Amino acid sequence: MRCHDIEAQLSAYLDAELDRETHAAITAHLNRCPQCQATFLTLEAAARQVRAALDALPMPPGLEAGILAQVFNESPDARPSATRWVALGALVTVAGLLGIAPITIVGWSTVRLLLGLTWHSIAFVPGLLGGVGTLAAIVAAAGGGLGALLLVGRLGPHGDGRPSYEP
Amino acid sequence: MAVRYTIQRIGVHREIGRGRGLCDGGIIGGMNEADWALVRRAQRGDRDAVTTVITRYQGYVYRTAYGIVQYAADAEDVTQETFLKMYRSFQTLHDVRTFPSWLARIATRTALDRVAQRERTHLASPDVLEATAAPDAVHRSDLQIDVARALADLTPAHRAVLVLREVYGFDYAELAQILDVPVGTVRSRLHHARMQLRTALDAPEEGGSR
Repeated sequence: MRCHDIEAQLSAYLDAELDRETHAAITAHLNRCPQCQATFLTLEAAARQVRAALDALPMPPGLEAGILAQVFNESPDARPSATRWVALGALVTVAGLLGIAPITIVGWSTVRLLLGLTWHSIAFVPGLLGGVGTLAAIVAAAGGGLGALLLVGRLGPHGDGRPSYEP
Repeated sequence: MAVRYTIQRIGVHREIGRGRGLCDGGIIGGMNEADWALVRRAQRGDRDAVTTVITRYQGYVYRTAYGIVQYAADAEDVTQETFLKMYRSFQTLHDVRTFPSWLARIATRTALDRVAQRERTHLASPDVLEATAAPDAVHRSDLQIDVARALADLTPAHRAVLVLREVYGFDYAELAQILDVPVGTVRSRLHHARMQLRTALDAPEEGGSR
């Protein structure tokens, strides 16, 4: 490898984030190239200076007290709870299921009146409507659950539309 | 000779980085069952557990915030906001073993948001000497002020990856998750940030590695 290629990988080398072969190749190069060796050492020194500077950073007085006051003054009601969203989803689901029955009955009665059909001639229709109702109930239940999940995901921990912080 | 020593040191450096994270308690990379239990209790709303978590992690969050926002007052605000978000969103942490990186992600995003907010409102550029107003300013060395200046010249995204790596030792995969970028981006940002820092500091220590 040339010096230019070596330099491009010195940072990852410093972090031991290279594969074994590349790492060994760079080590060999550094041992015979004073210029790249100097670059590496200054890179490492800069990293060490950053660590030292941040380690020595003084904590502001009263920081912990301020955090605790802010956190514990938070009303429990203001905490978005997954349980709350699940409950909302369940409510939507139940509402959807309860809505299916009257819609089915009203819809069937309307069709029967409009077409002047008799119970005997169209005995299969209730079965058909029952199937449609069942399908609608499944869709409503799935929609309610999905809606709850989307709400949790969309509102997230901030309530500002960001996704969850879970890595 | 120096390189051989450095190579040996890399392993040590990595261990230090992995183990030092929770700077006031040394937990990142080394959380144990008791720490996980503590986080679980905090998740359930146990006030004492929440307090302990805050006590242990405040230094970690503050340093992360300061490294990114570069203002002591903003870093303090970001730290408070980070813990408030942690408290509000504990329910979204499904695996307590990821707590350090989860918290780092909140802190980093909050800090980057603060920087963006500051840029939008056209406030003054980061005052790297602001920290000299801190109580122990008298003891701050020129080297630290130089580092602050050099950091201020980096973009917020470069500062973020550098701070998370140099101070807390997250590996590239963890950094990619925290910053929500590909590992290749982590690699290139770190390289760019370090090369720029190296130029800005321009202060190779005599003898390189100690």
